[in-house]
Amino acid sequence: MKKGWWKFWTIVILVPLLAGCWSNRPVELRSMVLAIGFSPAPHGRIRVTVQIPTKAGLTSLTGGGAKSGGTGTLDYTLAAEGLTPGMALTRIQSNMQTDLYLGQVQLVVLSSTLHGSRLRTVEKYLTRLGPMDKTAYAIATPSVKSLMRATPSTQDLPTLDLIGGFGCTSCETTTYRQHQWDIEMAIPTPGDSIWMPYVTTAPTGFNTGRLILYRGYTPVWALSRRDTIIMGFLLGRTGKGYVSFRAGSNRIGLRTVKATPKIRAKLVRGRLVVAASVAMTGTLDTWTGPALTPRRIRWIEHRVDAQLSPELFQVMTRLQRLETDPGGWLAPLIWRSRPSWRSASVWESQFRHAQVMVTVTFHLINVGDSN
Amino acid sequence: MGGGYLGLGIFQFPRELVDFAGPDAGWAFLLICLGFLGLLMLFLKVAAIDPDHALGYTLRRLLSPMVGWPLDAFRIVLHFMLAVLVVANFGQVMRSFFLIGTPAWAIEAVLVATSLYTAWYGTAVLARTIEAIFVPTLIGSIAIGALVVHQLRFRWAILPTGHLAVTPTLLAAYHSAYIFIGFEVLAQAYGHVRVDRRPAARRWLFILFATTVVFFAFGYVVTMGTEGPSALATMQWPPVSALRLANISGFFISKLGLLVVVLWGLFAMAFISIRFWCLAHDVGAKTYRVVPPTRYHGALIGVAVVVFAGAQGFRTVVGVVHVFQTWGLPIMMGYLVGLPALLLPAAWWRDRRAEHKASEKAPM
Repeated sequence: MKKGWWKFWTIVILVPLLAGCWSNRPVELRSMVLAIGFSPAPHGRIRVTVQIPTKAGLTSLTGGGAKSGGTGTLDYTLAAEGLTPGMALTRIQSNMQTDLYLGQVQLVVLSSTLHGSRLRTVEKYLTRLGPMDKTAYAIATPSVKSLMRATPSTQDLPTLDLIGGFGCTSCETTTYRQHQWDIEMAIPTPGDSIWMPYVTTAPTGFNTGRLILYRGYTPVWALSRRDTIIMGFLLGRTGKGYVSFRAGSNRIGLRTVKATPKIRAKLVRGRLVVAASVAMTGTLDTWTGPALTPRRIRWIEHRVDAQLSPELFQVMTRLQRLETDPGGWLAPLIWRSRPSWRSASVWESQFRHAQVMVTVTFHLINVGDSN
Repeated sequence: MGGGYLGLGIFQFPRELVDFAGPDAGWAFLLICLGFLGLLMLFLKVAAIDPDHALGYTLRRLLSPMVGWPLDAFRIVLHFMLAVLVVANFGQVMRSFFLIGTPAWAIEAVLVATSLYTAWYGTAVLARTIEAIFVPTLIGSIAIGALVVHQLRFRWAILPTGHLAVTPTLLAAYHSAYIFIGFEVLAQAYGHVRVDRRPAARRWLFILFATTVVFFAFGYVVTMGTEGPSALATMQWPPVSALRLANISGFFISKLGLLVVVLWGLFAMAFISIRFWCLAHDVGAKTYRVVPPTRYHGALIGVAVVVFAGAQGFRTVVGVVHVFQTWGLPIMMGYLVGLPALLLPAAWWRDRRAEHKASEKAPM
């Protein structure tokens, strides 16, 4: 028995160390940041805004179902400025009596007016931040302040209301969610450009369904909803795409349009050629013409090809002009062209003068219970 | 045997491979595997020279005491260096991702103490403990890795190119050689295997080597595919970052990928406890491979204290990588190539002379 005591005490001493209790804080002494926002501030500074759930908000997180109408506000925001995000967060921390905890961040909000060296500083900071969960979603917005203070009509925690849509891939028109991880991996990859959802606020909550594209750290194109759907086809991320157009005297409407793009960049006789072949399927939901026959279905399919090809081509050529490559189509070519693979600027300027070819092949896979 | 090397490179691989070889990373990996397969076979021959005596004794006898003693001391320094680097690296990984507020020394103390305890009861207990943790940890890591397979966005970077750039490929293979460094303990451990079990031990040695090759190949695919070559080369611990993406919503541990850091702690523990075992034998053994228990335990405690103290010299991972890549790697590779190059011809010469003498004495 005596022999076993030293083992017993060794285990007793080791257990608290193994459990990581050293830096443990009780939950009431922790302020869990759900969303963190970055926007420009005067004199080259960065404004950091954090959204933290209140106790009522935390209860709603665990399924208590507390709503802002019942037990008070679900969250509060704090903001501070600094030359680096870390300095701003230190200023926020100094005004708090609890531990500011970044291990549960669900959403990173980047101001679309934040670009160049300041966005670079923010991304470098987030990449280096060990405890930060890289599966947090990243979005861009024209006003971080408005977004953080938005009150969704669902009366849920605003952040959770927003990212709820990202989590449901079958709910969105375009699966346009981006994780912080995707941004961090695209930034250093030559031939790959960052993009993310572009979210604005509305009286009932958030306006989603748009993308914003970057060249390097600079936002260059906030797409319209229509262009976002086209971009979704090119990225192969359309879940519930919708296409509607007039063909002669008839109206055609297609829902649940999905695309499988194959986009290859290659060198042909010294010139860069980007060939996009997009296979698409969809369900016919509007057809004002005569009864459907196999021949008429083929005609509709050809009309869809003819309608969408120029639209896709237009988006591709605009990407060229902006020298942005959200699909990372150039990256494989650059990678295999070592030793010149590090000189991305060479290839990106070639992209501007590349020959672009777009082919769309559409197939109707459902016509509904009507002829 | 796998426990002898997995703990060293698992947190960093394949950073140097990609950084140096670029699109030829796959070829460089193949080269490392083939190179170490060759070294493994050579060390098996070294181990079979005189399995009944301590390796230090064999060195002194075959190469003369003047060469043998310094070489033996050099081996001891190597064991210390590897153990210190693994302890320091693990402390930094844990502090960066998992136990943010815990001082590195506390994490390292736990690792050293656990390794000491594992090695305490001698060869059989150490071997059985590592056997018990090795396969489940390997399977657990692969299962977590499988959760991020659907996120392989950079699949195009996985396969190597058709045109091979020789110098970058060789450099990448050299700088990534850490993935198998540590296997050389087999030269010491072989003598402790029962004589009738030695053929089976040799067979298992190759099976385990093949398993770890597959394991590292899987790690390469997952890390390269999720991070892409450019981002990967900028990270300190690429596979840890990649596996942190494993996330299961609704499961009671949502951030399952973070568990990898803890799981791989077992590999680090196995690596260090084997080093402790080797060091205690090197320090304690005189002629025969068996060391008296009192001397073994005394040596173990001394070794653990020195390794723990040595690890405190590294405040960041940058220092760990710098020391290993600048000093540790060339010294280790020199040793891995040099030891068989010295011992095998010496053993061959000894056998030849013995045969010659025997034939001279034999009746006409």
